[in-house]
Amino acid sequence: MDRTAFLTKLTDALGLDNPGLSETSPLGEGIWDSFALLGAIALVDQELGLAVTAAELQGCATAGDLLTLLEQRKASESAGS
Amino acid sequence: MKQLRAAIRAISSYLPTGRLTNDDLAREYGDWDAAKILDKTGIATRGIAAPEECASDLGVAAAQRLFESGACRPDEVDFLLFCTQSPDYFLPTTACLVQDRLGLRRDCGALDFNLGCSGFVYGLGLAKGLIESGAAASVLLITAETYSKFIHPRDRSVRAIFGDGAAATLVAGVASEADLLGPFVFGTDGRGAHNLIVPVGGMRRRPSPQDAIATEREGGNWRSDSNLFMNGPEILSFTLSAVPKAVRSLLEAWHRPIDDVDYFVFHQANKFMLEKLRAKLGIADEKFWLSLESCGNTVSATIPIGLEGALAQGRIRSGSSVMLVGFGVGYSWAAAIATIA
Repeated sequence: MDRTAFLTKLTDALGLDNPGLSETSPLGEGIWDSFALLGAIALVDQELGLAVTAAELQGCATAGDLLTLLEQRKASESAGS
Repeated sequence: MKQLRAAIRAISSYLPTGRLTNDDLAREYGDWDAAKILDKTGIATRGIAAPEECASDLGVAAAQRLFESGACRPDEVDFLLFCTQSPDYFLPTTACLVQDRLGLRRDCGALDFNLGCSGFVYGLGLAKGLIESGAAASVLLITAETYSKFIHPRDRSVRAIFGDGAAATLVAGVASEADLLGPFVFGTDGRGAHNLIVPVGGMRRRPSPQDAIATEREGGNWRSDSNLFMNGPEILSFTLSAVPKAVRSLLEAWHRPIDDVDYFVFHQANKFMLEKLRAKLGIADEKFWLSLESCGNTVSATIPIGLEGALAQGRIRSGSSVMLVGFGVGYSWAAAIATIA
């Protein structure tokens, strides 16, 4: 997964203004309103074919943590298939 | 060789005259504007049943329109299927009340079934079984819902989405060599039951004074446990996973490719979800019904309302193969191919 490209798409999906998300951007309560959760779940499904839960998204402290979670989930799925 | 096959013969819908517009919502919730609600949900206004107006009233009005259209007479109906999750009473069965109000025969079968967004497709499956087994020649399927009665006025997460409404669909036998209704696929995953629920009011949790007290929940929304709760992100996640699988299973059962489907009418949940599903399935925009603007998500009535609209606009014609997919509360889903006779 291209982490930088995904962060750009995630910034759009969450409706955030520039400069957008970086690996160290915090993903706190101010980020995750219902529209942001819907946007992120749809983006992860579209780009990676993964189903993530709202709780998983909200459990990530930073955008980098979310990327790592998604990479781990993708690797786990690939190993299992 | 021609056999008697069940087919959709006519559809009429009814929305209550009470309306809830985006301007109304924007006035009540200061930080929302009407254009943003329309952009996110695809909904401009919703029908809202009056306090004394129940699912039976909406269903009777839809059925009366069907009879007035000349599609059939009340005395020609052999079986009434009534789908709702907001019945008039725990008992008696709402279908029995509707049989009397519509003047259906007393040797007419009538039953309620409790399903939400998948209810219309399930109802078509039940109607097909009744007709092709010879138990009934004409089935009146009424899908009627008044979710607004479950919704707390300060819970905008669901208030912006759901509208009340009903549809009456006549399913009857037609002599045909090919199936006109089917194949069907059905699915259930009760692990998601808590993600779209009215927790209090049934026998599991009887209402108490405490249960009527609303408290502030996630996103600044207010509700009590007697109100409707929907975990929107979890419902989206379920939908994006379950619906494409159901579509693939249906196409396998149909033995034809997706390009052979002339038109798609999915449950009209909300614009965002439908656009994601359409993109994921690679369905052309012009073959996909998306119209919630004037009614919102009317639960089990969205698919027949969509079919009625698509027929009126000429998007569906005689001989069209239409894929119908319902999905939501339960979790429950169902998909079918309907060939318009």
